[in-house]
Amino acid sequence: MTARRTLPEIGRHGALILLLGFLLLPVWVMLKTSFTPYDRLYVWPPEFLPTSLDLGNYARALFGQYRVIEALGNSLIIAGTAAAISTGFGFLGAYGLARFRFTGRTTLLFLVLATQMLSPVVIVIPLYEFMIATGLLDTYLSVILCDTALATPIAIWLLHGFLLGIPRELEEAAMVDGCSRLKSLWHIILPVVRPGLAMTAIYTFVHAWSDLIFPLVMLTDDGKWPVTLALTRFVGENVIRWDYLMAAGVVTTLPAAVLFALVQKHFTRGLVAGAVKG
Amino acid sequence: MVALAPATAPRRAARARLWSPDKAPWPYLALPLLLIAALLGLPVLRIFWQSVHHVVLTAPWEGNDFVGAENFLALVQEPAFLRTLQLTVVWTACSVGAKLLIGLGGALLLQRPFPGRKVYLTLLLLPWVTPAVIAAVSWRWVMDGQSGWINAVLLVTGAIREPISFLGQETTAFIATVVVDAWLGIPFMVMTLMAGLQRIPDDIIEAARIDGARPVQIFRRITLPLLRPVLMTCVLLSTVWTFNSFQVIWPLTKGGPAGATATLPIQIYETAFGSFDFGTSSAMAVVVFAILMAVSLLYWRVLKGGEE
Amino acid sequence: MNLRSKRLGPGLCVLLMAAGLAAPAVAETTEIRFFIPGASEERNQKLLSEIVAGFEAKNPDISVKVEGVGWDEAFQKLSTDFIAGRAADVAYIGTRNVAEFSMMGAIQPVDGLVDAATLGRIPEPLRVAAQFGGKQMAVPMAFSTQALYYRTDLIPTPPKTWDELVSTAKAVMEKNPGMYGYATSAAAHVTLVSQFLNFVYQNGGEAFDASGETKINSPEAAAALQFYVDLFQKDKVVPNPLELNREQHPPLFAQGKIAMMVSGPWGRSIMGLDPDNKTAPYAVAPLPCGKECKGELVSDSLAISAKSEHPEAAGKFVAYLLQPDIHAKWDSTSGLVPLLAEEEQLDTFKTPFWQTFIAMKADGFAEPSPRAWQPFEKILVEAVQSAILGKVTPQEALDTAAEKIRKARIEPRA
Repeated sequence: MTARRTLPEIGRHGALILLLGFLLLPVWVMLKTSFTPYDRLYVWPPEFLPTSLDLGNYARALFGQYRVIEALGNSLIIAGTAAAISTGFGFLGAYGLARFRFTGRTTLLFLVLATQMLSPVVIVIPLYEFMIATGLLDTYLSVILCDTALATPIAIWLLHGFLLGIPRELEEAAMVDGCSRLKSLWHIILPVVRPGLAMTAIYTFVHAWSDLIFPLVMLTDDGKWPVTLALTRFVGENVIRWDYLMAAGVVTTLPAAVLFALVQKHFTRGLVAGAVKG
Repeated sequence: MVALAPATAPRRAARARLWSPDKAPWPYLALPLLLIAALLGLPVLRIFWQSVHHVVLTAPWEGNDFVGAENFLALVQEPAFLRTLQLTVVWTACSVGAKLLIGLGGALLLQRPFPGRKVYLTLLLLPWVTPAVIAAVSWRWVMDGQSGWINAVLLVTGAIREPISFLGQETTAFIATVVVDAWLGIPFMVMTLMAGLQRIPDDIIEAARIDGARPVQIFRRITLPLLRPVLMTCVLLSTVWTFNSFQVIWPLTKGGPAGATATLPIQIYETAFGSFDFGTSSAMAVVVFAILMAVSLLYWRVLKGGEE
Repeated sequence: MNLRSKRLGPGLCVLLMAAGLAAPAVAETTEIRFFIPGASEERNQKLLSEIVAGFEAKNPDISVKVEGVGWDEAFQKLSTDFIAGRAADVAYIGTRNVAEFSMMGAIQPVDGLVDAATLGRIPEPLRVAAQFGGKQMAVPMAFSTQALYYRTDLIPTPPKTWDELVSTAKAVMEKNPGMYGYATSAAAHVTLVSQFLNFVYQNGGEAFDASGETKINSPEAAAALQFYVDLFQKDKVVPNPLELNREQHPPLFAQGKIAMMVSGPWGRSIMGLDPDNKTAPYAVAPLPCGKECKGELVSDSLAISAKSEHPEAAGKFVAYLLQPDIHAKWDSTSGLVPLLAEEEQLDTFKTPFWQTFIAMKADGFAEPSPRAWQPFEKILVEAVQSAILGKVTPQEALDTAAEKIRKARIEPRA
């Protein structure tokens, strides 16, 4: 029994390690460089491992004038809020589109998708003028709104796909029993679509987290700069402080990684069998 | 008064039905649609408006006359534009294809709990949260034509005698940008497909296995069809995003060498913020929009067809 | 609709109005915004706060707010700000962008806002480069020259001509296998233009002639491009330039992969090595000459936004920055070649390293001023890249470039 199982197991681990190797290569570059002082950056042959675990770069990058810690806080506020609103709105929108038949439903669905098809390059300026006109310029809200407006359609599409796979019978059974739709939504659908919600929350969070163009344009007060903008501080006219940049990069990736570790369990738990059939 | 009552009652009832969370979609749709319309409505209209007007910011004396289809005709008549279009389609297909295959593979490998799975999953998502600035730069360090890590390994082991300039040759630059773009998008694919796979009830698969079906058969007959809605959504979204991908190519090659990686988003950017010709860049954006719309409708048709 | 609030309303209004009328009795400070890329960089923060403090002490009724983003994003941010009418009062821009910002109506002439004495101190070629339509649209603030960095342990005498450049490079490569003698850049980057044009002007060619017509496809320019291509394809003395921009040469130099390179004074900072270091000892020499000895002068300028509400205050700040002692501080901290004649006397600039760069001023030609820089750069990039890839001959590439330049209407005719 065990012999027959270990071979596929080794195969699985092997394949996953190969995949991870590919995915983590640049992350490794970032990690290694973050421990490298500037004068050892350009040695040949390149060093694949840091020669010492010197935290100098981290100290300068985080606490010096680059203020990366502050930027991290800003990013969390912006991305967190955008993710929460997008996921919530996305779920509502997806539910409305998945569960009801009405004329113009498909058109609406495609209009929602259409928002993704316009290059951000051309959208920036009108949105900038909108924020100026509403007096929202240089506020967290301006960036949150932009990120949410672009992420909600995706949330709707993602969750729409998930909801389509969940049979109507699920909440309709409950409604027959006297439950209002809202209640059945909360108690029955929500738990079942949890992997989809987790997925959507992660997606919208990352989407807002990695956004550079909207904060660049909307936020002049650099006390509000999220991490994507803060990283540009390390790029000089000719000289780029790779050592500090990579240290800042490592610190930037950590919170998101931690977040995933936490949210993971929601998104890997499976359907409760039996509720689907019959 | 008496005459009015019977007339208003059905109207009020109709209105009540329109907003009933039990029966109507609008209570759910109102908020999200409002947000999207409020923020994106104006920009979208503006883009369409600009595409049919002459808008060159560095020549304000030329005015903003209505030019109808002129911007579009000018594009279509330029062989360079059609080449860019073709390049973008091929580039997108390669990247989405790579993401799909590797993503699906990864999702299948990770769908069942096994020791170490949590570690794999957390690590898997790191490319996604690596800031684009750093990702592009790190890949450069790996692929650098003189002192990159790949070249270092190949040279030191004696596999090659001269370093390979990946970003300095047309074909390898194309492949390199596809690789980096795919790298960025694989985590999303894996995650979404995994979530989709989660919904496939275990008992169906168990039953099939007990009946003697081989894994490949189970995959083709059961998993794939049940995964279809999520799969199609995933591929569709990925296609739309990849087509508009700018953040990967720009830091690596800026569209070079000699236009080998100059996709439409690059051209749109250069037209807008280089030539400040917003009429033409908006027209390009509308062309992109039209293509993606057509592709989406095609996918939708296939998806619907599959459901039958 | 509460009756009480109805009566309070107008009363409150009158009160506020009275307060508003009373306010101007207190002196208001004018606030002007100064946009400068790299404002958050370490060395700049201290410098900027000192300068701002000094200015505000001399002008108590003006306060300066400094804004900035990273260099890569600066142009995008500035353009967007100009388009939306929200740009800072004083903006630090590349002189190459003066033309397009002028045409967009984004910046205003500085005559009358910045005093003539200040303007007079700036070297003429640079001053002219920042003019458009006969008006002074910006004030040059910083500029750079380039020189030839070479390994002193591998090269006894630096090359002085094109031929010597090739032979020196080949000699080094023979004695040091695995190393290239020289490096050029042909990545899609602004430095391609300066590297290529150096050779063009050294061969007696030019980008635009005195009347503003493009001469990029002259025989001299084509020969220069041929030489540029040959360095890679025929002589094989440079690594593949298509993936390199000029700022990527210093790391290669430090790693011992190339023995000579062209760079500005910042090449030293990028490497993090002083000339007398042990791993790659180097010195700088004037650029090798073709028929002529030439090197491009690239400058950045200060412009005043057209929509600025305080142009006079902005002008005062610009003038302040151009005062010799303030400017000297600026140049030495930023590692720039001294702009004003007065600065050259400072001790910091007396080293052989700096003297070489200062000497290149005399042989300098100003960066060309097409009416739109990005399209111009893109056209040249396409020409050089396709010539290097062998898709077209240099003459063909430049003929196409000249045609595109004319078609795009970006020749700097007045």
